[in-house]
Amino acid sequence: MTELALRLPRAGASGIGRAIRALREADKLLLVSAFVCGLIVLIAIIGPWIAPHSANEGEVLSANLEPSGAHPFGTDSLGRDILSRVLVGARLSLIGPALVILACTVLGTTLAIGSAWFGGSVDKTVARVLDVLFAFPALLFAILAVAVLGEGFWAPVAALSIAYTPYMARIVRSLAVRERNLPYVEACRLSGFSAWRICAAHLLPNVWPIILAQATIGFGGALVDLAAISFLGLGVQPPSNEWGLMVADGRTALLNGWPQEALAAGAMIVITVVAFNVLGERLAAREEP
Amino acid sequence: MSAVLEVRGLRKEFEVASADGARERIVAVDGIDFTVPANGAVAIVGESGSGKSTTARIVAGLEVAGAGEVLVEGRERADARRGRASRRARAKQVQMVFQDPYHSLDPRQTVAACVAEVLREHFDLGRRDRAERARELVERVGLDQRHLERRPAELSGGQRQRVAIARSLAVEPSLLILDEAVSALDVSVQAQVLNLLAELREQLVVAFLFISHDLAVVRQISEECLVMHRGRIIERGPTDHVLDDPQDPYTRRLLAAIPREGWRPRQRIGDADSGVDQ
Amino acid sequence: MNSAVERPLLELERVRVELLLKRGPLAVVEDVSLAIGTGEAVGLVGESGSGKSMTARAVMRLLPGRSRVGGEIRFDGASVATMSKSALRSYRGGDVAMIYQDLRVTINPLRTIGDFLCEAPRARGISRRDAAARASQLLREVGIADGERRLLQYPHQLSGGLLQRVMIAAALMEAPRLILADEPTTALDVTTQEEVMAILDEQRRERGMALMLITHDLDLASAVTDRIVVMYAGVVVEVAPSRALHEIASHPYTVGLLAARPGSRRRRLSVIPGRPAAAYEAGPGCAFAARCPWAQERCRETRPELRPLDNHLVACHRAEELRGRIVYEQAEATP
Repeated sequence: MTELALRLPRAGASGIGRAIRALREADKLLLVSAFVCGLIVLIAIIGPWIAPHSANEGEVLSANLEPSGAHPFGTDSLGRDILSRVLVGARLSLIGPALVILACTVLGTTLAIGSAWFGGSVDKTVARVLDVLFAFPALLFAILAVAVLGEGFWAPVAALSIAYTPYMARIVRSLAVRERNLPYVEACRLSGFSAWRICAAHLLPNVWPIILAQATIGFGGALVDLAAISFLGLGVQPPSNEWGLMVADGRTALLNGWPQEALAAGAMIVITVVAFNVLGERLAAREEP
Repeated sequence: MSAVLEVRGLRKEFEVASADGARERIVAVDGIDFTVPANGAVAIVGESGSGKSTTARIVAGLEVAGAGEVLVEGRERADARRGRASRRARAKQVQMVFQDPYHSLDPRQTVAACVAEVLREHFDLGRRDRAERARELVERVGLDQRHLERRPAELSGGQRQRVAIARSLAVEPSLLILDEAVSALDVSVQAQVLNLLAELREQLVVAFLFISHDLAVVRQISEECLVMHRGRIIERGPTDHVLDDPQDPYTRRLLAAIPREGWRPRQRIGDADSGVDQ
Repeated sequence: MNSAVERPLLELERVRVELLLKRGPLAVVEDVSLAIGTGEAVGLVGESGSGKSMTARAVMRLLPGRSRVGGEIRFDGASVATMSKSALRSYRGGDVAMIYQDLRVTINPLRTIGDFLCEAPRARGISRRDAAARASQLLREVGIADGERRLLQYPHQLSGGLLQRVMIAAALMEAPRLILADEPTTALDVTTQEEVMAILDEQRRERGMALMLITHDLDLASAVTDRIVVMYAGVVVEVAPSRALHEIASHPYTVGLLAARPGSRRRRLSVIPGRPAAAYEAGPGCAFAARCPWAQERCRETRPELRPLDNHLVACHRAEELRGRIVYEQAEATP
């Protein structure tokens, strides 16, 4: 029975005042993680141009050097500069998860909203399909895909896209169902809007923040899964600069007392995953009432 | 004058799971007939379980009737045709304002966008004309310029209901259903909205169908009153007659239970909800 | 307007409640003083933002986590704010009982009605059989006939009206001295509301319990209480005997509220311009000044204190001169 507006119009409507207040009240963790994520994406984009050395050619004589001025991360067993490899490899390391997340988000959201909107037998059928997909552990499914389609970039990406879809779909569906039952959706129907319009212009924007949060978290998971596949030698092949592959490449060196390569690549994976996970969690937290 | 709404033999059953798991059929609406004259204002009153809301939702098209006819301006309401023209025509027949001010507007849309969207769907107006018309509608329901760019979270309950009314009127419907539209508002705000509705009736050619459990409110807004109980219309007539001189014992019981000056609550024996569920 | 010479059962003195949000404290109750004597029934009436619910919760010391209470709340002379944990337990479970709007929200759906009713006495050491007997007895007194069967049922098997009766029975289990009822019948049909209020009223009178009824419904409060306390934006604006309120209401807000109810004739309703405000939205002066058609400079600058006028209390600078002349316009006002 409350008559009060849930959000009060703020005093101090000036742009600067509002910006300062927004900054002060902001979620610091969100800002930091967003900054780190942005930095990593930037590196992925401009990596090849800022790498100090070539990522693919190395001098065998300079193999396994410790970090130094010339080689901040040291060199690997073939004498290549690790920092350059990491920078150039960022693109390949991030594009895979990005594609996976893009695909599973589009697929999952479509299934979910369609399922929530139509209900009945459509909903039941989709639920069954999702149940089956849930049963496949993502990594094993990817290995299966590689066995069938051959190693490389695309088989694992395709497999993970499919394996991740039910997770996204489940979350979006429950939200979409809740929104769909609200009076404003009924009002839209009464206003004569088409199902397409209601789903796209009303349902989707209202579940979008959660989708974004989940996608961000999922990005981290996809990165780890793809890196693991590369580590196993089933993904991209050498001499690619993908981080997971670099960890595999650096395995022997690690055991011989030169951890630089494995460490650098591993650390990049961990930092990226943590940053994206934290960002995703903070985004999700914002949507809580 | 022909009737805007004609309901004949309307019947609706629901299947519910009872407390111990068995499925039972509940008759929500048990074969009712009524009409709403052009530019008229008819109220359906009743308590929970009376079937009044179900009736409203069937007329609006949100539920499908089990049996019976619903005619709006002589045309069947249940139009099986799909497609844009059909949707538009149905929207122009009946619009509805809902009870819950907090969830009947899209939380991400500004007031202006909300009304403009409806206008865009139904009228071929240029963007400027649309904005102008949206502004007019918003002013007509008693809001002003500064409300146009606000989102629902920045509006109070009464303001939201006004927006909902504006959105409904944007279509220029023949019949406007108000389903407990003021029940969730504070008394002082309710008075404002009731006055607004009375004013709109004078200014526009639109018939009202008012659903309410509150008999005093009903008196304010309607000329004819139907009392529903357990799916049936047990009394009907001009509102003042029904409320001042009720014939049916249930109507009398309802009126006797309303708090007013000099009233004291009394436990009565009779056909009231003694709360017996099992 | 204290009823007796003896110490009142519940005393609120200049109570203030603030919610401590990230961006600072938000006052939801500004300044409330009232007293309830033994066996007396008081209605706390107001709209959204009036602070009436928060006041009740402060009395029970059941405020949300980050909040601050100013002023004094005393039950039978003892300060509620400084009660020890054990004293608080016997206070809340024993001396004061609370009845909520919807039992379904607060009751554990996985436990039977019997478990719910017997929880408090069993915690005190009463045997299961004795507790169940008393529970059945009370169920009978609130009009639920087959008590033994009901004790074995689960909440979802009972209708709203039945559950509210169960809640009344639960409130009576420990023979409290004060019942706090927060919108106990708002969610019920009007006929069920009458039954439930009749039971509450009867039981309360028979046992000599005091009652604080929180509601937005002026007429309902007038019917079952001795005194009405009208609240607006966290402040008490008027206190009057229930029966007489309709005639002697002197505060512009109370008059407006009375006039805004749809009544027995169709007419253009008188409206108070604007919308109900909360304590934190009010300026330095009278909380109602922003909406009051009779507000003057001093109304906006200094907050009026509650003072005696004609046998009741009003908080309005202009109460005397406006007496009998408060008439609101019947236009449909902009919100």
